[in-house]
Amino acid sequence: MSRKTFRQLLEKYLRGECTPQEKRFVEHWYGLLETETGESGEELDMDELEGRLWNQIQKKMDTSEDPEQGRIVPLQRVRYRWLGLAASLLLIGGWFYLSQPIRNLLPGQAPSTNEQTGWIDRSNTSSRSVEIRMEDGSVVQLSAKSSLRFPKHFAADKRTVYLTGDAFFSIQKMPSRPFYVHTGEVVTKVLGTSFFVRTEAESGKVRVEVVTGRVTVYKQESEKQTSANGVFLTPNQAATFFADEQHFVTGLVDTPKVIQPTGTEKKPGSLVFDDAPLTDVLARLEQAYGIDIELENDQQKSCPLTANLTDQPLYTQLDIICAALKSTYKIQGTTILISGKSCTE
Amino acid sequence: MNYKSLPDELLLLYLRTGDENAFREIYLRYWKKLFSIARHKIQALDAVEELVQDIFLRLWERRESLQIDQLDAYLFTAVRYACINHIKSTLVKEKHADYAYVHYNDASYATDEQLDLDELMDAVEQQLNDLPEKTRQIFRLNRLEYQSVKEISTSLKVPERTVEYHISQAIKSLRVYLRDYLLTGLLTMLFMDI
Repeated sequence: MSRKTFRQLLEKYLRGECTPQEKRFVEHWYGLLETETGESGEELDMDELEGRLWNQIQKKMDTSEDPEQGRIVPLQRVRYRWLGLAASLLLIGGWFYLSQPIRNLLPGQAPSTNEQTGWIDRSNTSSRSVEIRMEDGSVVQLSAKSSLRFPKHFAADKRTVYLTGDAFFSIQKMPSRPFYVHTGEVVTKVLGTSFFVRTEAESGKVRVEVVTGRVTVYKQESEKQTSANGVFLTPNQAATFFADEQHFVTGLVDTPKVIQPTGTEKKPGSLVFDDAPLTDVLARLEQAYGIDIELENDQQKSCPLTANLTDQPLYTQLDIICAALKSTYKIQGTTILISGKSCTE
Repeated sequence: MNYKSLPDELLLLYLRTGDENAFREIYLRYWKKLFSIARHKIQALDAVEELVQDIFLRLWERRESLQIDQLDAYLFTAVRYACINHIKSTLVKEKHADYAYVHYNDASYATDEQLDLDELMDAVEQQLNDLPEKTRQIFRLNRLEYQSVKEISTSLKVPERTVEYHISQAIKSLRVYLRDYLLTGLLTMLFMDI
């Protein structure tokens, strides 16, 4: 056998095309392979080597980062943009009372006031979202290619706006003047809260996602709201209205956010756990996100868990918990269900 | 958080989220083992360094798409492929010699060559079949999964001396057939071909 045949065999092995016999042959050959330097070579300074190799790896990590991201972004552009939006808007919702930044007209905004009806129409033709502040102090982040119609002055008993497209609303709390967002056939009624409304133009789907407060979503029927065809949402819950089937499906938002504690209530608890029983961990998460998490197997309740869940998205936190307990989770409606075996074996 | 106390599975999860500390812990946990494996297989120290770096870099670059069940098994397979790839590339360097060699000989040479390889493989296969199951298993654990004699002794509940015996038996019987293809053998073969 020449070097060439042998090389071809190795190539075949690397391509994963070997027969079981060839594979065994190569692996046993490899298993026997041993250099003399490996056994009795000069002593290396392993600490120096550890640092040097790591530095070289880091250097290459930095330089390869940009093209790498460039490849990823187009694939997930929509989702990332959405995440970015959600994060920044959550901040506005939470810190609304503390900061009142000066708002300028942004490029791409096309304001036009119809004096006769007192309605203002705003279309966002730019590629970024635009902030609109209304008379009552409520703020709307209007997404690209979306438009909002709102009155110059709200009525004394209610506040009504019309949305086409997507927006994030951060609504001033006024119990005597509920706020209504009309999106196609869907009406979202709130008292004081922040939430997203997204419309899928082709399918007529409307999705409402709640960040803070409580929201009622229902189908518009001759201006009369009946509780039967509506859904009630709390933070991190979402409702999607399917125009074809004329019904709502409730679930969880894609990226649940930690609920901002209101006022001087208790601070969100630490998410670093050291040998904590699973029920404590889940209770902390339930409190943080306002989402119900249930265990299928009660015996898992006391399973000890050591993990740092700080600054991870909820679904990663659940991945970590499930990996540690060899369990799985699934989302059923607005509840998360964890299934796995007891850990006391 | 102390990453040192985290099991591999959790490090992998953190790695997927882009956690550089988790990546560093993986490096600290495994670099020495990978380095020592490669050093036993490859003569050139700079090639060994580069190969180990590349394994970690690839892990970082593909952190979001890699499906890894067991980190150590993944890394050991990676180092095996990297070593074999390196050895293969040292053979490629002599491409010209190969070309001349093949054309120098007559057409029937390819068949003879194939026969040689098949015969050799059959012989090794036969040898493996003749070895007791236990010997094959221990050889595999030690030489392909890089478990130490001590680890094998604990997991299989056999004395370390017995483990050592099985390994040496396997090496002895296989070396007879593979001697020419172990590294020094490869090198002499290179010279012979030219």
